[in-house]
Amino acid sequence: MDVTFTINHKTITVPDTYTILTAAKQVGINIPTLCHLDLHDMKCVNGAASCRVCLVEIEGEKYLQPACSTYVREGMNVMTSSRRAVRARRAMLELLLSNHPNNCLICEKNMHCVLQKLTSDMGIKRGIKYNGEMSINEQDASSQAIIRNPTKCIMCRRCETMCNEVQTCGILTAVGRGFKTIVGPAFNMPLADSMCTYCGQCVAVCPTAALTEVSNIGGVWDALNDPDKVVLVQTAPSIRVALGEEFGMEVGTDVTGKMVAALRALGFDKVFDTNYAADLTVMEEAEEFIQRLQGGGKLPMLTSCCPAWVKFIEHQFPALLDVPSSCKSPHEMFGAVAKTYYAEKNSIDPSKIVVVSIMPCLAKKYEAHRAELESEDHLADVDYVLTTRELASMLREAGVDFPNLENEDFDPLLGESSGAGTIFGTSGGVIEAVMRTACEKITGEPLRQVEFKQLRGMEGIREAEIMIGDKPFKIGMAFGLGNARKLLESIERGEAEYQAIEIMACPGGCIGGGGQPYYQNSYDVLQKRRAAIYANDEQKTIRKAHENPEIIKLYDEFLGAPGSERAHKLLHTKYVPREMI
Amino acid sequence: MDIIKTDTQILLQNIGVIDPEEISSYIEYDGYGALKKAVQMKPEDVVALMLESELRGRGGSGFPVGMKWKITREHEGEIKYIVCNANDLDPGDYKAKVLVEGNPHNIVEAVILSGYAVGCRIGYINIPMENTLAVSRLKKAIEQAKEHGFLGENILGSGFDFDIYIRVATGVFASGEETALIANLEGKRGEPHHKPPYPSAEGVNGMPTVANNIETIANIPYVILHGADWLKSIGCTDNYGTKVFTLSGKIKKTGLVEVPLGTSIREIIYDLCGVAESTVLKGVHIGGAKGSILPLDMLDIPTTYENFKKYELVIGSGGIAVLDDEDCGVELAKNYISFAVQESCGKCTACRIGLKRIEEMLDAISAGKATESDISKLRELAEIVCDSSLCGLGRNAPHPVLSTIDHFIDDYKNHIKNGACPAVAIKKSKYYKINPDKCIGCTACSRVCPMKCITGTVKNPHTIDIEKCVKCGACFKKCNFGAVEIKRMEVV
Repeated sequence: MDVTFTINHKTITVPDTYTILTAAKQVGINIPTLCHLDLHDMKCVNGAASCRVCLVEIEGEKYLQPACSTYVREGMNVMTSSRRAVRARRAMLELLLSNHPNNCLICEKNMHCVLQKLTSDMGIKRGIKYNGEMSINEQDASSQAIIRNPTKCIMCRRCETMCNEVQTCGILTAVGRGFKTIVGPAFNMPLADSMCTYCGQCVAVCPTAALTEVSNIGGVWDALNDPDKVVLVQTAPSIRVALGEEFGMEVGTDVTGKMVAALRALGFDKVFDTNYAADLTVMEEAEEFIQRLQGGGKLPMLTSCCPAWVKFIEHQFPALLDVPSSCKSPHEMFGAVAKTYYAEKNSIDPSKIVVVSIMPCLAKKYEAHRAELESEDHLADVDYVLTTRELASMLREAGVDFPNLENEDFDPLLGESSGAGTIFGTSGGVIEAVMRTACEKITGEPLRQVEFKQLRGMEGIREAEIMIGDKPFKIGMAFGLGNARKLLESIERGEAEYQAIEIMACPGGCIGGGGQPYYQNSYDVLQKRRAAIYANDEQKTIRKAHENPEIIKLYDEFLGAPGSERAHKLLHTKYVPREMI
Repeated sequence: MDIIKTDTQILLQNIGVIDPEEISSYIEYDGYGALKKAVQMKPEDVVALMLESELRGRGGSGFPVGMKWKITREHEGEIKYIVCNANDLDPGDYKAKVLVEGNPHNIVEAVILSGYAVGCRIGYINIPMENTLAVSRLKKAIEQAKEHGFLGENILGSGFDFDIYIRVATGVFASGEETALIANLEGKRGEPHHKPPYPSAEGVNGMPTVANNIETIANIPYVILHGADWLKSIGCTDNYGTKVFTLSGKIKKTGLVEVPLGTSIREIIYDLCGVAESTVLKGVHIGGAKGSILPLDMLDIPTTYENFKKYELVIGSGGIAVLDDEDCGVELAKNYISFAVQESCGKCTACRIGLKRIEEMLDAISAGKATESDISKLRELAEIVCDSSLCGLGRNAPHPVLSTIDHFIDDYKNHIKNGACPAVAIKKSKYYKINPDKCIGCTACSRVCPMKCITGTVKNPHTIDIEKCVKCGACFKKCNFGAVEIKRMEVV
């Protein structure tokens, strides 16, 4: 039903499902917000209305109302910039600032902080009216992936909404009461002791530096400057469709060539591609799938390249640990291959090799430290994980003029990839990549159609049917851990009829990872990155993992066949049942 | 807790008379008569009766109970809830405690009646966990009601099923707010949320819920039993029935007072409680932590909802504190704000940080570390916090600040100049003395003196040792012969 009302003397008609905030945008009125977050496509709407910045005056109402949560009514008369509303808005912001360490210059989020931008937009320039006690809290740097800094928290509750309602992990909530309230795990236990999966979506939506990633930049600079070390870098598929955003380039631009040039400029000895390792993952996972299928093994098989999702299943569904594939994630596979195959071929002592992964992900920082992911000589497969944001920071520090770099190519041996490797970056991509190979292997015939469009989509939970030969196979896909939970519960109840399931913890898959450039409130950004991923696949000559000549060479010279003993030793892993806290 | 006897009492008349742990005692005083009457009627007619009586919510808003019932009844769907909020934790308010401890069956019957009228099966009574006596008496009352067929399945053979659950809440003031209360009931953190949706549309588990204040609920059985006309015979136009006030401060008798709505403040203070001759009244603070000052020239205003709204007296808790020249406006504001700061849930910026800053400003003013321009800064922030908060706590907590600035500005100015005000000096100058001409030597005062500093033998005049006296005033309140007098030393 439509509603006609007045806002700042303009009369408009909108559906009654609109809030004042949404309706205002229609007539070019941008009411400032802070805690508001509307990603309804991901079912993440932060309705706390707690920051009180978007207050507006409504004629006849005693109190000011938050525009983000107040629905329009027939005949309403709204004033967004009346003296009373603006006075309150400024006061709310100044109150927040009076309880916030104002050390922007040396803050993690300098130039990317929503609070900073709002303060600047509101013109608060000559000091803060209110001052007094500040709510100072200890930093929680217990984990290897996420740092909690409650002192910088403005209690917007976005992280709580994301963690509880979308990811259904329930790690973050308000603790304590009144002025001293903070957001953190129950009993304010260290994050490392909780069931946190390090998906990093809380970091992705945090408007300040209350939640940030652990930085590994220092370690990487040290390695790069160590003449003794051979520093190899690999880049995840999602980096190349998002890195440009950090340098003002258009969203969704494929910057693969510049990315490689930039990494060389930083001094990496070799620039390799995680997509190559994704192809490797496809080989192993397709083989595993076929063996389970034909040998009466456990079905459905779940993909296991997402470490946040792996930790999720370890804590929440420990009885189902034989369901995921035993494959390591691509970047870990790369590390294992780099410190054996690559080292041998180039006569380098493996202990001198430093593997750095550029990832869109925070969980991979935790994953790299897992005890299962190191060699017999206790060499970790991957030494450092840097997020897309961290890489951008290093490039800026080194003065690299990213947008104007000439395109360069990856180094050979571990740098060639098929289109199947690229699509790992988006939801539906991993399983499509695996199926491109599995299909051909099972039927023994080349694919008529290389793209499995029915596996593509941006809905959080999907299912599709593909034909392998003349047999139909049902595939389930989910992104977001809440959706993953739904699929897993259906497996537990014995209702799942899927043969294979792909799960990603982040919105849209890795393209929306916790380490990517902030997509704050914009689903559109994710859509554009996704389009770029598929475009990248389309323009490749080799579209299937098993046709990647460098992969074929790897098996011929080193691994033998997919699923071989050596392959198992280097490229497969085990899962650990964990406590439910 | 004392109850000051008045002529017209509905809720308090049976407190102290009936045995709260015996259902037969309740039944003797027409207990469950209303329920027996109601189950013979159609629920819609019970709602109509309540509408006709025009009984208004006593929690502060004054919303007609019958209307709330009607709206909830008419909501589609079978699952609805009644929630009785016995969680008043405003300082200076003991109403909920007295009503539940003194007459728990009344509350039980009221909740069942509400359920019948609205058409639902479950009622919750929310009680703070500190009040162990109220909890245990309520539990007993529920058991006894079940045994007698007033609660449970097929109540009094009417086919109506109803169950009551006691919800022992953590004693959080903010969880008196209805949406916070409901969140708490659901096992979540007791934080309020933006309204709409209102609980009558989406309450417990998203279902229509009637949330009522304890005083409102306590009235229900009487109204059903005696009828709409009966209620309308008490009180005044648009304000029918009685209101329970908690009187404290510089009056002779403190405690609960129940009077017909429309009674003036003057009558309550002077006629019912009594003011000592030597008391120099300064004003009356109405509404506890949410309330405002009523200046002395306004004592004649009748206690009606319209007046409460007009003068922003926020009468929900019914606390009336009588102030004299020893009471400092700044200290009063400080005390109430400190309470609010402690009880704030911490969700919204205005209340979480705004009230804290107000408290700090008041501390600075009180200690003489502020300037006069800080008063207008304080006043402005107080107004903004009222305007901007998410729930009733933040919206009302600044009232004591605003009204003390408006009415007791001299206290503020004195504190700014000297870090102190005359009230403190006056308080120091006060002492109690027993008038030997009036003292009959009953020794009552010496027995209540916590410092044991009153000496004297039976039937002989007693004396207070001023050195040991802490001026608690217990003797003053105890003496039935007016022999204990308040004296002042010369203030230099």
